Amino acid sequence: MSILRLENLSFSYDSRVQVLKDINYSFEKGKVYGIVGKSGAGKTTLLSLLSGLARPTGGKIYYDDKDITKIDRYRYRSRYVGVIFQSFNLIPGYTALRNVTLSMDVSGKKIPNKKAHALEMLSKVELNEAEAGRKILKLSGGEQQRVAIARALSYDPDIILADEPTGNLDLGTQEEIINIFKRLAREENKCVIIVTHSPEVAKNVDEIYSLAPLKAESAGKKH
Amino acid sequence: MYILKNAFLNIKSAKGRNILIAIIVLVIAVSSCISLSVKQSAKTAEEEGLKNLSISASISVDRSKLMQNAQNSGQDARTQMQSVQQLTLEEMQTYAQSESVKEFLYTLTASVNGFEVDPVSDEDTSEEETTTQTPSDAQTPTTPGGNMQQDGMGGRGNFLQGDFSVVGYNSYSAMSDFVSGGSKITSGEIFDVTSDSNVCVISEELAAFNSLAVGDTIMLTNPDNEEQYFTFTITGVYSYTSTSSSDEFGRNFSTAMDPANRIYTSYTALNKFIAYTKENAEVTTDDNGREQTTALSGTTSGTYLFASVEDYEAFAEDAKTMGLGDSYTVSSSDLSSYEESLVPIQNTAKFANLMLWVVLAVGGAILVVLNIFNIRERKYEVGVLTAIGMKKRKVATQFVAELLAVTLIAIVAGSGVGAVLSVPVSDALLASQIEAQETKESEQSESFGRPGQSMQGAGGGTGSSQQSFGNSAQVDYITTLSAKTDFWVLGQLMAIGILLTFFASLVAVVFVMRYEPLKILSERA
Repeated sequence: MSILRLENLSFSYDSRVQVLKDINYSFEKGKVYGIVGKSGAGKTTLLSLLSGLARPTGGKIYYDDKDITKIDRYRYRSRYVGVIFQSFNLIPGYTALRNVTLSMDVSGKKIPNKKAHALEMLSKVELNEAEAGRKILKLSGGEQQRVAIARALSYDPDIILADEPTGNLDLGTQEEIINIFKRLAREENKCVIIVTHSPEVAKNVDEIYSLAPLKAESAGKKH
Repeated sequence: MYILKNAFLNIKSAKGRNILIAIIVLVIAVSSCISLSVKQSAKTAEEEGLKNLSISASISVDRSKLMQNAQNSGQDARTQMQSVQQLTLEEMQTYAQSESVKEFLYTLTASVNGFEVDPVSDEDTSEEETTTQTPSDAQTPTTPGGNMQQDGMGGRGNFLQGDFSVVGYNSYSAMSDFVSGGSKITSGEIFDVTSDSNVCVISEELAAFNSLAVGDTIMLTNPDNEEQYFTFTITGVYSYTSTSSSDEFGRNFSTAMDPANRIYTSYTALNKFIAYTKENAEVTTDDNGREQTTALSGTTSGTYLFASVEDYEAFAEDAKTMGLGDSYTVSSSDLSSYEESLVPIQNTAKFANLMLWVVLAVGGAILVVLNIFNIRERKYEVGVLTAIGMKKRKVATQFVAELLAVTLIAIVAGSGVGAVLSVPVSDALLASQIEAQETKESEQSESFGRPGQSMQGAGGGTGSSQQSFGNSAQVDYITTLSAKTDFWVLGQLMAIGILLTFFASLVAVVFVMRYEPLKILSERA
C-alpha cells in the first residue's frame, strides 16, 4: 500500500510557467526511490510539493490516502515527513544537538529523553557527542549533511525526502550516506525519496521516476 | 514550553544583540521611572498638602460683580457699591452655623489716638498737637494719612485716621500672628480674650519708644473726640517678625498701619470702647447732605475655618442657601496661597510628563527599528523553523518572549536606577522651577517699582482692606518632592514595558507572518 500518492499533479509558477504536468507517482514504505531529471525538470519543485512547502496548482497529493491539502501543513511537515535539504537548512547559531532536539520539540511527539534520543540519531549518522555539541558553522559539509539527516529522522517520520543529499560530498561520504538511506528503508521501513542527478545514487535506489523538462510550454499558452 | 526554552537559549546565545536592546530599554525605564516618580510625588504632595491644609475663608462684598452689574445696568458704580454694606457680626454668625464650618473667628479693628503715648515713627512727631493734647483739648488730629476711610466700605462713619490700630480678638485662634509664631510675647503674658477688662499687649518698639512696661497703663482716645478715652493696662509686650512688603507700604502710609503701632486686646474690650463712643456721638450733616458722626468706627472681620476644601466649597453653597446675597463672595486666601505654592511642583510634574512622552516616543521608535533589523537578520532562522513545521504564530511568540524577557529585565534594573536617581533629579527640577517662578515674581515686582518685594496679594480686588494692604504673605513653595518609586509607579513601568514590547513585537509578528519558508530557503540556496 502506498504511503504517498500523486494524482495528476501539476504546478506552475505565477499561474503562467508550467513546471510539472499530470504527474502520477506512487511511493511505498520500505523502499528507496530516486527522482531524476535534467536541470529545470522540476525535481526540487516536486520535492517542495511532497514536503508541503508548496501547494499544487493542479491534481492531488495523498499521504496515507488523505489529501495533504486537507491536513494542517505545519503538522504534516513536523510529524510525517523529514526533509533533507540540498543546502541542509540548519540554524547556524545552534549546535548540532539543538538543531535535532528542536525538530523533536516542534513535532510535538512524545519522545522520552530527547537529548539521549538526539545523540542516538547523531551517532547513527556517525557523529559523536563532541561533534554534536559543536555549532553548525564549525562542522564540515559532510557533518552538516549528517546533522540534517539526523534531524529528519529524529521524530520518526514515515517519509524521508532528500534533495541532492550527496551533491556536496566526496565519493566516500556519498556512499556512506546512500547506505544510511538504504538501511532506513530496509530496517526501519521508511519511504525514502531522493531527488538527484547523480548516476551513482540512481544506481542504488529501488525505483526511479524520471522527470523531463516541459517543452517551452506554459500553462496559459495557447496551442 | 519549548518555545520559552528556545527563547531563553536564544537570549543567551545572542548576547550582543540583547544587551543593545536592554540598554535602550534601560534608558527608557530610568527616564520613565524618574518621570513617573516625579508625577506621582507631585500628586501625593498636592493631595497631602490639601488634606493637611487648614482653610480659612471670609465673606466680603463682591466688588467686581457690583462693577459689572453697574456697567450692565448703566448705573453709577459708586451708587452700586454704597448700596451694599459689609456683613454685620450677627450676619456672619448666622452663616457660621453651617455644618461645614469648623470654627468661626472674628476680630474688631479700630483706629485710635493715644494720650501721652506717641506712635512709633521715623519722623519727629514731638511737635504735633495730636500727641500732646489732653483729652479735653480735642482737635482734629494731623497724623499722616488722615481722612482714611476705615469701615472698609467707603461709607459714612468715622473718616479720620488715628495713630494706633487696635485689634480686638474673640479667640486665641484668631490671633494668627501669634499662632503662626510671627509674633511672640517677650514680657508679661497675653490677655484673657474672653474678658471684658481693658487689658492689652503692645509691641516691644512701642514700649521702648514710650518707656512703657508690663503693668503700665495707656490712654487711648477717639480721634474725632479726644475727650472720649479708655485706659488699657498692658499685660504683655510682644516682638514680631514681618517680612510682608505691605507692612513696609503701610508704615510709609500711616503710623496706624505700622505693625509696631498695633495694640491687641479682646474683642469685648474694644467693642465696649466703640459702643461708648457711639452712645456719646455727635452727628452732623455736611454740605453734601451726608451724615458725619464722631463715633469710633470699627471694622469687624469674620474668618471661617474649615477642615477640608470640600467643607469650604460646601460652605459657599450653604451660605447662599442661608440667604447670602449675590453681591457677596466667599473667598479663601489660604487656598489661593496654597494653589500659588503648587505652581513650581505642577510645572515640574508637567515637565516630567512631557519628558515621559518624549522618551517613550523616541525610545519606542528606536526599539521598533532595532526590532525590524533584528527580525530581518533572523529571516533565515524563521524560514528554517517554519520549514521544519513550527507554526508562524509560535515563531512570533518565541520572538515576543525573547523581547519581553529582555525588556522586563531591563525595566527591573531601570526601576532600581530610576528610584535612586529620581530623588536628586526631582529636587533639582523643582529647584529650577522655584527659581524660575521667583525670578518671574521678582521681575514683576521690579515692574511695579518695588524690587525685592513680593507682589503676591497686593492686587486682591475682592478681598478686604486687610487683604489688600495688610497680609500679603510670601508664598511658601514646596521645596522638596521626596520622589518615591512606589508600587503604583512600578506597576506603570511594567505596563509601559509590556506596551513597548507589544508595539515593537507587533512589527516582528507582521514580518514573521509575511515570510514564506520556501521563498526564504530558495533565496538562501
